[in-house]
Amino acid sequence: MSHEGDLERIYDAHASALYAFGLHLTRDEGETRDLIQEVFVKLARHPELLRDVTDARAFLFRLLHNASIDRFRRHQTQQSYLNALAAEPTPLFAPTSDPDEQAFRDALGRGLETLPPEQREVLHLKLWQGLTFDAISEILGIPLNTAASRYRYGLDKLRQHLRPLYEELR
Amino acid sequence: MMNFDDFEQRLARTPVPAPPAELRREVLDAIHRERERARAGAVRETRPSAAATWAALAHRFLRGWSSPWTVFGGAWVGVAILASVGTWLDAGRPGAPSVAISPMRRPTRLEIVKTLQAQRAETAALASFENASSGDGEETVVPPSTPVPGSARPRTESGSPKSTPEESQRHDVV
Repeated sequence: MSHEGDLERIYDAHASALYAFGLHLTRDEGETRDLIQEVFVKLARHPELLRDVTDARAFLFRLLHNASIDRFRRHQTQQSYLNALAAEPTPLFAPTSDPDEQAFRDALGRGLETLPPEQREVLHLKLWQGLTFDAISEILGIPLNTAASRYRYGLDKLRQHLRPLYEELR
Repeated sequence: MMNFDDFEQRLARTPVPAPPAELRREVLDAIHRERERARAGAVRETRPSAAATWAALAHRFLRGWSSPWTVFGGAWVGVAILASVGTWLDAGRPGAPSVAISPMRRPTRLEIVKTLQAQRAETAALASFENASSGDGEETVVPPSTPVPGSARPRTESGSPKSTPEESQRHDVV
């Protein structure tokens, strides 16, 4: 897995998942594209990183997460970075022609934006990537119980946020 | 009441957006550029010799902000500033001269004081010599025509009282 053809194949297999995860991390399309590019440039520079990898997707998630943290630290202050990203957030879900469904997706996106980043990333990996808490704790470098509690807290907040609309659309 | 499991499944069914089509080309171009750069870098990395490495290190050491010149120069400026501040503070103490005297000018001042002292000593010595030569020491000089009552007459070398000019004139008349 050390030449460009391998990286191209890896990109085709995991780009969608990486892009969705990156959007949940940054809430910004440009930042997400930069992060994904940074991850693949790192893999091109250090092909040995992929040598003993068994779960490529989990490994890519971890690289993307670390790259987002590095990028976050490079910015002068956390608040200015968050403000810049939150100025015009990118939609986190695909658009649809069904107005009710679109209303639900918009409300879900707004609800996710109100969550702390650490809860949002766990929710995304669990709900939209279908990963286990074990894998999530491995990717994010946190204890398994922490991953589970963040998921539970985040889901409760989201449910409270969406309760009126959910009941209405049910 | 909302079912927790239903809610999770409902969320999980919401599709996330697909990556933009141009992102694939951007990423693959970036990979290609990185590979080219790594290949060019690998060729360059075999070139520098040990002497060139040492020369580069020395050059960097002498040119940087932490070079010895910068460090010593900075230390000298710092000491000079501290010394001048200390002198200024000393000048503000009670009893200190109103103008701070620089340590560099202090020897000149001492020379001036020594010269003044020498001049005073010389003047004093001159005055005492003149007094001694007039024979009166510290006494008030009195004109010879007005003798002080009760004062002893000047004596001759043999010890007898010396006659005044008026007396000798009288003797001449007689």
